[in-house]
Amino acid sequence: MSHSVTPELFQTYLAPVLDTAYGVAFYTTSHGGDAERLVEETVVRAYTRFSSFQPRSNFRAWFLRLMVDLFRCQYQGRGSEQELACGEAAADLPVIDPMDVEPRGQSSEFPLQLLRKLDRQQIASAFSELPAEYRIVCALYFMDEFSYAEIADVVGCPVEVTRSRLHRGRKALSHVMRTQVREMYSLA
Amino acid sequence: MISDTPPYRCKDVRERLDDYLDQELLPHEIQWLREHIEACRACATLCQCAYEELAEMRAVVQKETRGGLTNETRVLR
Repeated sequence: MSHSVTPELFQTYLAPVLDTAYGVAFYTTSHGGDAERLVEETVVRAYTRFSSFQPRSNFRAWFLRLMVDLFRCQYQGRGSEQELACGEAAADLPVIDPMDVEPRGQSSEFPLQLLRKLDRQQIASAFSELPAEYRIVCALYFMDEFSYAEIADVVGCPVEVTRSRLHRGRKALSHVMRTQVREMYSLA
Repeated sequence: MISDTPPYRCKDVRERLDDYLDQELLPHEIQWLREHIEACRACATLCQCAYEELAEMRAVVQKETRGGLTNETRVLR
């Protein structure tokens, strides 16, 4: 069902989504200026397509899907072909060897609260160690309360692919963030 | 080989830990996993550490981008 497009109505939908969108954009692009530009361009695209949005559906997911598509088109320069986005092999985590990731629970003495001492550039740096498709999935996961199915819907990939990327990506993130903390505080 | 029947072993719990933390397991899987960690201190510690780490990571990731957008983007012009 179509609906009349007014700036006020659009703004009503948009306002609650912006913080999440910026966070996802920031950790996906690893740059504040790029993130803001990506969100702005997504806002414009969403507004021009707002008449096709189904009012009873999930605006947040719809908006983020547009943003992920834009990121793939503009920042990766490889179009929005879902086949490519979903078809990357399991070996596409080139920087961090998953086998090198610290087994959780075997380091319970690690002061987890020190993770909060990391600043945005350090966290962005940790995200930047991941391949783009992993960054997208992890950013969506950490910035919102999406289920695997909802993240899969946003990124346009099967749930199992999304799940695998999320699990491996956040283990790698944990590894990098713990390393950053150890270096900051000269921990063993 | 990961078991799909009770009782869960430690490796079954480790395999399902992320799904458990994300509330993506089926109800019977949750029950079997909880039965194991109630009896296994090592797996209980593993789950607790993983849960706390995830919470800390989510907190810092969200905190560091809050209010990051300028007002120009927030207001549709």
